[in-house]
This record gives sequence, C-alpha cells and structure tokens, in this order.
Amino acid sequence: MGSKKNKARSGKGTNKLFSGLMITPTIIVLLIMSLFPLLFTIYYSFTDYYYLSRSGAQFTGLDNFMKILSDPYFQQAVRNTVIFTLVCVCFQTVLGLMIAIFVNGLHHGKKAMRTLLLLPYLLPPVTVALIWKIMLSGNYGILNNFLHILNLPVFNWFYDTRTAFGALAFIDIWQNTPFVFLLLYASLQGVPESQYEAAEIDGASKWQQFRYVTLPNIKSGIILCVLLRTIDTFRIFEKVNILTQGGPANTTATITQYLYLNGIKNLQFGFGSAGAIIMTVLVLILSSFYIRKTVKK
Amino acid sequence: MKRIAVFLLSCVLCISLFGCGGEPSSNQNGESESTKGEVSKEKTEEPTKLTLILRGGTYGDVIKNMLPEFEKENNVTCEVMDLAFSDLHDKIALDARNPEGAYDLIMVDGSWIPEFIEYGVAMNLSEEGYSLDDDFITEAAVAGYDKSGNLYCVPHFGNVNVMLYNDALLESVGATVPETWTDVLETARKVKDTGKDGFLVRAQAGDNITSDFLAVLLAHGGKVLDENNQPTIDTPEFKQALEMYIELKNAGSIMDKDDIVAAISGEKAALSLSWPGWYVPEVEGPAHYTVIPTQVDESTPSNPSSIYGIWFVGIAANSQNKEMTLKLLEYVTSAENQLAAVEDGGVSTRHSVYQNQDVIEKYPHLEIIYNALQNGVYRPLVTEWNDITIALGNELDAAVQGVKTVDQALADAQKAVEQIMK
Repeated sequence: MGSKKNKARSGKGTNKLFSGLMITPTIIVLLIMSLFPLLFTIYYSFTDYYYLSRSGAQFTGLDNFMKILSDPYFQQAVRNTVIFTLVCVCFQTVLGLMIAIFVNGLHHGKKAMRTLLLLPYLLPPVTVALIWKIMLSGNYGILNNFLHILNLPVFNWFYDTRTAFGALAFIDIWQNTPFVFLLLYASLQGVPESQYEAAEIDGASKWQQFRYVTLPNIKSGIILCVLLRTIDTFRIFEKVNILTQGGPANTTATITQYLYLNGIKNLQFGFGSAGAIIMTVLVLILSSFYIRKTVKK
Repeated sequence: MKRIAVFLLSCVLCISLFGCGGEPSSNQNGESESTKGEVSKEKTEEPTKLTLILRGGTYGDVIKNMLPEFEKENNVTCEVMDLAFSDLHDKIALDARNPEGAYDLIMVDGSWIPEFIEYGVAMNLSEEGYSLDDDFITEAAVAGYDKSGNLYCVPHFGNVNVMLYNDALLESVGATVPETWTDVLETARKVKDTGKDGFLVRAQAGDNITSDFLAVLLAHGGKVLDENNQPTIDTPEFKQALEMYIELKNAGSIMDKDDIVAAISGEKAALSLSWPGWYVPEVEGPAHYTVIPTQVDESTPSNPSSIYGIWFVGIAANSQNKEMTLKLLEYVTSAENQLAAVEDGGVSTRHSVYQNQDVIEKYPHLEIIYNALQNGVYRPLVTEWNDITIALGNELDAAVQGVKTVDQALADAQKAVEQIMK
C-alpha cells in the first residue's frame, strides 16, 4: 500500500517536472522576445537616446514623459485615437452583428456570402490603404467622378479637415467588420435551437427572441470582439501613415503616428520609448475590464 | 525515456533558432572567415557584390540603367534597393551603427548630409584622394562638403524646384507664363473661376509642405533660420509669404505629388511647384517648366527662390567594399554617364551636359533647370533640419487648413524651432 502511494507521488512529481521542462524553452523565448525588449524600452525611456549619437544615452529622468504629456499635438493624438477607436469599434460591432444574423438566417448561399464578406479582411492593410487612396483621389478618383455625374459636391477626402477623419474611419470599418462578423457568426452557431423554439412557442417576437435568446448567448463573443477590435484599432498606423500622415492639421494624427514621426523617424529612441510606455499603459487601462473578468473566472 | 528524448529535441530546436545568423568566426590571426572567403573569391574570380540603396523613381532608375556595363567591366554584381524618401533616410541611418554595413553606395538627400557627416554615416571621400572636377556645378555641390572642406557626397541628380504649368489652361484665360507671385495668384484665380484648379499646393505636413512653401518664402525675402541658425519665423516676411501661400491654395487645391502631375498634364489644373524627377516635359506636350518667380511683384526685390533638392551619392562609412564602391561612384557621376542618363529622365549636375546643344534642343526644359541649379538656395544645412520640418510643417499645415490663424501658427512655430535649436 505504502509503495503504491510512493509510486503515485513520484509519478505526479515526474509529471510536474516534465511539464516544467517542456514549457521552459517557450518561457525562455518569451523572456527574450518580450521581457528583454520591454525592459530595454523602459530603460531608454528615461534617457535622451539618439540612435546615431556616439556619446551614448544620458539619463534624463522623466523629461521625455513630461515633454510628451505636455505636447498639445500628443494630447490631440490621444483624443483622435480614443474617438477613432470608439467610432470604429461601435460601427464594426453593430454592423458585424447585423451581417452575422443576416447570413445565419440565409437558407441558400451561406458559404458564398461568408467568403465574399471576408475578402476585405484578408487584404493587407497597406493594399487596402492604396486602393482607397486611388478611389478617393481628388483628381481622378472614382468616387468623385461618380458624385460629379450625379451633380453632388465633391471633396478632397484626405486633405480636408471635414472629411479626412471620416474617410479613414470608413476604410477601417470596411476592412475590419468582416472579422467581427466571423467571430459573431461562430458564436451564433452555438445558440441552442431549442431556445428559439421555446421562445416561439411562448409567442416571443423576433426582437424579443434576439434580445432574450440571441444576445445573452453570444454576449461573451461580443465582449471578445470589442476587446480585440479596441486593442487593434487603438494601434492603427498603416492607413494613417499612407493616406494622411496625421494631417490635415493633425486631425487624423494617432498616438502611433505621433510616436513614429517624433520618436522613430528622427531616431530619437529615448523619446519614442517613453511614448511607447505611455501607449502601453493606455491600452492596458482599456483592456483591464476584460482582463479582470477573465482572471476572476 | 521518451519524455527525455522529446525534451532534448525541444532544446535542440530552440538552440538552433539562436544559432542561426551567427557572426563569422575568426581564426588565430584575427582574420575573419569572410575575409578568407573574399581572398579565395578573388582567386576563383567570383564577382564582388555591391549593395546600393537608392531613392525610388527616376532618381534611382538612372543609376540602375548604368549598372550592367559596370558589372561586366569590373566583375561585380550590384543589388539595388529603392525606397521612398523617409524610408531611405531611416534605412541608411539604422545601418550606420553596424560594424559591417549592409550598404555600399548610398543615395542621400542634401538636407541629410550635415547629420550624416556629424555622426559618421558617410565616408570622407577627400581622405581617399577623391575630389570633384571643374565640370560639376559648384553651387550644386556645396552641401556635399563639411565645414573644413572635406568632400563626403557627390551631387548626382540635379533636383531643384521649378514651376510646372499647363499651356492650354493659361491660354484659355489669356495669361502668359507668370513672372511674379502676384501674376501667379492672378492667373490661378482666373483659372479657378472657370471651374478648374488654379494652383496646386503639396500641403501635407512635414517635409512636403515645408519644401513646397520655402520657394514662396524666399521670394518674399523670408528665411527659416538666420546666419546664426536662429529661427526667423515670426516675421512680417514669413507672414506675407504664408498669406500668399494660403491664397494660392484657395485658388486651387491640395494634392500629393502624383495627383499634381496628373492634374496639370491632364488639363485639370494650371500651375504648381514641381521637381524635375516627377515629370519629363515633351516639346509638344501639355505641360512645361518655368523658373520659379523670384519677386512678389515687379516693385519688390528679386530673391533666388529655387530650392535645391539635389540627390547626392556617397559611400557608407561601414561599407565592406569601399574601393570598388568608389569606382562605382566615379562611374555613375562621370560626364559620359550623366549625359547618357538624360535619355532616362536624368537631371545632371555637370556643366557639360547642359552646354551640349543637342541635349538642349531635344530637352529644352533642361535650360530652365540649368538656370535654377546655378541660382538655387539650399534648405538650411543643419543637423536639426528633420526636426524643424516636422515642427514647422505642423504649424504651416494648421495655418493652411484654417485651424490656426497665421499669427498663432507662426508664433507657435517660432517657439518650437527655438526649442529645437537650443
């Protein structure tokens, strides 16, 4: 009996040891690829590190952080980023949900619709930016030509403060709504049919079925979509950099564009590192709600 | 046993990830394996590989077209990277701190040279015994030198800004090629009244708007920095120039480079500032170049207004093939190749090309460019110029878009540039 217990204990110990050994390489890789760069970024954020300088990085304390936080252009970039994120995530979630419900309700052509709807999401962001740059060109763009034919006013979409922000938001919504659609469509497959039948028997309307059956069942899917899209949209860079470079008059400047222009492009890596730390903190704050919920579970 | 084997295999896989891309080993004499490799390469006559990093478009294409013959004559293979303006700067700068550089021949904008000289990015050509001959346009070569007269970069593409105009649109409003900025504005307004764009500005923040605006500023007698490199932005001349620029934008539109060329050559817009690398006018074509007006109106003094945007070629200070690259540099900047490059849209930096009557007959616009090259003005040759273009560009953009008043924008720009130059 004793030897059986000992065998069981040593078996468990061996398992634990083996599990630890198996994940060690992954931890080493993670430490090197994530923790090491993070520590260096934190270190450089307190220095005046200019990449080409031969005199090395001098400690400057909180200077970089104060400079960034007090810069009105950074403040505008934060405002723009938050508004852009809110607008895009809301529209993507609502549209994605509507499309998912619509496709889920189709009797024919579901697969074809799914494939077609996914196409914008499959394109690289740079390709999307360039396509829309051509289509919205103030000179030969197809949209302005179409508006001109209909005798409607034309716009200089990316160089007008009234339209640049909206144009960028539209392009981002166009490209990323399919991602939300895909996740919510998958969530909808998990809603038990019996609940709809029961609701129908009880005389529930379509809206009531949606509100009391569909929504509760896909709630976690919606929260996941909102979280992922929020993190992704907050970090938007390629579309802004290619289409507007933060203009006109910084109306489309985002945090990443600001950091690129003021910290990376001019090789002021100390300044850029401080900006990256600030941005990381902001993203953590945004995602803290979901992280807390996940940890509680 | 099985578990131990799986664990060992995982470790080997991880180690191999880090093992890849290791540095060449050295033997006891301190020679690297790669040096030994080069010696054996010479013995077996394997070609030397040179890496060129160039500006995309015509600027780099003219060099690419010269390479096959050089490769054949010198047993060399050339790998070319061509990049956009800011990517080119970043890539060259980021490689500068590597002990063994990835690039050999580098193409450099004149405004980057002070930074590249100060921080040891470009090689000192004077130390290698190289100097420019008298055929180079002296004024165009100035930026290639440091303050002690050492040459670091050789002017290759004579980029200097000019005015691009559409003949038909000017004719349609009864205008001739404008000679003052007041004429430009008047013509632009007339064209605007017909429903087309009068003047196109390249007013995107940063280098684009700053470079576009500078010609107008210089004609008004304004400057960004004075002789002591202190900002002179919040001045009456700067204000007048910015107000003129805003009026020009109101008489037209804001577009990027590709749209500007398409609009003017497509008869949708009448006038714009341009760079020779963007467009090669044909004799009977729809659009042509003229010199940028140097006066506001006929009563004001004349100030040189064409901005140099010359593309230089140099050798990376950490190049592994300096000798062969110097040979390549001499080759691509030779009079013979500069003349041949005109057929590919090249814009020379040598007198002999412009004094060739056959060339001028075939490409009359080169006469305009030659004039501009001899009377051009450099953007301030300071290491802080990149930072200044960002700060100044932000404020100019805000003023042009009407988000700030001209006075507020200039005051903010003055303060920002003073901070940079402190």
